[in-house]
Amino acid sequence: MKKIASLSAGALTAKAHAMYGDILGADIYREMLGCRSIAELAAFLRDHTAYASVFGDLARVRIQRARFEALLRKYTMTRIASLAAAEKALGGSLYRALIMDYDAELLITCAEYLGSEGVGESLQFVPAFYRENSQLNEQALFRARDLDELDAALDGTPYNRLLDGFRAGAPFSVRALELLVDECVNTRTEQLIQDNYSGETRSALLENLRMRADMKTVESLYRMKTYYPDADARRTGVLSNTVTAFTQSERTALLECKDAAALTQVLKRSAYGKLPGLFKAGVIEHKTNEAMLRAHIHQLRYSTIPQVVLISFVGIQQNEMTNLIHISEGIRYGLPPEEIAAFLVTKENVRASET
Amino acid sequence: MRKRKFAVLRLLIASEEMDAVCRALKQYGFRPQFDTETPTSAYHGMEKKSGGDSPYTHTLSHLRFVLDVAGKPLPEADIHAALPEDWHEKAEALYKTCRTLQKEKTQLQEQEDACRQGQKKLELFGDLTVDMQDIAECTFIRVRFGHMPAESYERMRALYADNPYVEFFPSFSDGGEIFGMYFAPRDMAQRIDAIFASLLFESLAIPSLSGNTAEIGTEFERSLHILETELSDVEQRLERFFAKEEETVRALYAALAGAESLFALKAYATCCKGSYILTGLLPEERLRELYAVLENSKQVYVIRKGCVKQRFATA
Repeated sequence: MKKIASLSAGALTAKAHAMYGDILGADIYREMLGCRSIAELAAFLRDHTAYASVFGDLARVRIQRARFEALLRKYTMTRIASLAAAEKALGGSLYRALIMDYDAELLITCAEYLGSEGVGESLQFVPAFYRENSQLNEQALFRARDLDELDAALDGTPYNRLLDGFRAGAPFSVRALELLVDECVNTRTEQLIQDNYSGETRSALLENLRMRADMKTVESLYRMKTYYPDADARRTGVLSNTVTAFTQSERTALLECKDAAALTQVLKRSAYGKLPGLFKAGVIEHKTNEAMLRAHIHQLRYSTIPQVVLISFVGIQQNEMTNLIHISEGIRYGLPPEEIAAFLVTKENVRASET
Repeated sequence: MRKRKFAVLRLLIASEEMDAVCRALKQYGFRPQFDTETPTSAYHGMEKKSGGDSPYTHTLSHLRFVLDVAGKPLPEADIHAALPEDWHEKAEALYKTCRTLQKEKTQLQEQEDACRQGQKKLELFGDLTVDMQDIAECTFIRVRFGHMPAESYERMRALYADNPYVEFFPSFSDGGEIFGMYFAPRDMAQRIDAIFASLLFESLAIPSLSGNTAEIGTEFERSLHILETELSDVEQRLERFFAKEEETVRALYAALAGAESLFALKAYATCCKGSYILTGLLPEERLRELYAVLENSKQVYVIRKGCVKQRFATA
């Protein structure tokens, strides 16, 4: 069965809407900004929010930054897994796209730890749903200490050709691998959507996927054109991603523009030219995240396609995790609340930038 | 709030009558004000707004400490009480005795707290049958006591099963948290610590005593028993001290507080050729009573300069 029946679709949408009710609001963020330590922040989340489920048993131990982030990730992944499992149970196949996102994260984390003895701190508490459905051998990847072992760990998985370029002599870096993994995961997700969905659902899901990939590309290009305007963007592989809403001529123009101002002009003529807030002053990551959150909130509220609602909820939940990590980092480095608040992308920011 | 009517008074008081007049003024609710109209240069001798630091403040704080330790409320200031000649020596002696006993009690309580904390921490490592002293003195290995999440422990067992240096000895499990220790050869300590750090291991400092955990536990029990006996002895001595000296402390405090309030009033006065000039406000309805009291004073002159209406709180 490839499509979710309409009754079940309603159940999935209702579940996503109900879970959206636990997303943190402006008041909670304001109170969190007043916390003076990560322990205080964790205690606040435990006492006043749905995060009690992960911070509940920390009474005896003193929480540190690494554990805090790992638990945030656990909470986020558990909620996404809960929705994805429901979708899988209803006969959907979009959960595989979420598993591929996890695969990408796992591959990049393991690559970061090559040459060291440790394992990824942030992936300590991954829910069983991801492990059971992933085609990767998690333990073999965690054990890998060099490129050969990493390559061997990928044998027999859909990613087995991923490291061929590096093995043929291309210089290895985590950033280069990240570009490859993104390209691979996006292409596979695109294929998954093409194979399993049609009509409006397919277009909406592809639009979402392309926007996510393109926003990442825009961030990289902006950074490059701002800090290294003379570098040849063609050689960096920034635009290697083929899952995109940019036309071929737009892609060429994006690569050839001289600076960030010229890049803005090209973007204004593209499919993203009318995104509110994308061209205002500020940090590029903040603007792209705001654009993504705006799209996700809109889709979650108004879309009648359950898969789109699911993907939108995932985006909103991940944005919340990023916000909480920003707050914990800000507290750790003793930044004043207003400075930390400037890094946050919230529903209220999005609403304010619309008016 | 209703406004009250105040008479503005200016008093010229001979120095020998200053104390008695100040008491009367205090009694009838006189509120002194700095005399901004009288030029300082018009007087010889003392400066305006004189008075300096109160000689009673320091002693009062000591007596406050004594009453605080006794858990008694502070008595009201008594402006009519006579202050004994040796008030300072008496108050200091009381303070010294109380402070010595209190210090002794605090030290014993701190030791007791440390013992209980140590006992609590030791409970987490209770199942380890190793000699803590021996471990602390190891030359070639380092030992880390601490805890890690249960998930990380499972992950460690799966990922590092073939690494003989990555071994964790659990001693206590508290739901999702496992307490225990690991060893690391000194030359590899950094690497092993990095592995455990990536597994979210957090170290705990535990008491350095000799013997295994059971022996140390017994030692803690014995120490706690001694400390409790000593603590109860100090508490009894403190109780006896308060039973004997409480009345003295309260009386001394009340008299000193009264003396200080009179001193504070005098600080508003301007000194002029052996007399004082004092300006301030007095509730209109109490003016007649004050005049009646001051009638017998031969060397006090009161000039009424008018009246003002003020709220009570700001008068």
